[in-house]
Amino acid sequence: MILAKVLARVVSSAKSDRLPHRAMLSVEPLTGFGDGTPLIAIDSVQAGPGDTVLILQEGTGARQALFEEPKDPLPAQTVIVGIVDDIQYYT
Amino acid sequence: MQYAIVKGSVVATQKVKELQGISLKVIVPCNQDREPVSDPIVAVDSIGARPGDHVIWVGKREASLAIPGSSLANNYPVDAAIMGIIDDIG
Repeated sequence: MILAKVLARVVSSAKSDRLPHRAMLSVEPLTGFGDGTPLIAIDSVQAGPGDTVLILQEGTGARQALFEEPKDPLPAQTVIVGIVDDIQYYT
Repeated sequence: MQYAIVKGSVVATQKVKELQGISLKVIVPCNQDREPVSDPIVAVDSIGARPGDHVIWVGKREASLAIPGSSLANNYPVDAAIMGIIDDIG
């Protein structure tokens, strides 16, 4: 999992019908968590722009986070699974 | 899932049977502002994206799950798929 900041909401009307009816958010990985390229994540925790979030990037876990019936195919890996309140780095 | 711009279509008459009837597009991974971030790749397209469209794509194993009718245990030989056309970011 990585940490990222939510930048914006992504609106797509022509999308795969296998994607759940959930918000998609543009997220930018925090420094050190990736190459800085924004990702599109499916929200499962009602996150919004400005939030720091926990991002899962694995398909099987994503299915379990989003579907009540985790046997349904989900063509996505990137899911927001938590809103981060605070990060403390040990010095 | 990541951003990309659709650059063109790929026509391949002779291809493995699993890919028959599946549309292929050349896409360039980019950022939110449509600026390229890496080299182009070929992705399957079940949405009907057109050149210039700003799209969402998914890579790796999950790309095969974007093919309509595929099951969790499918064997489609694909590693990138267009998932949706972006109307607006805001």
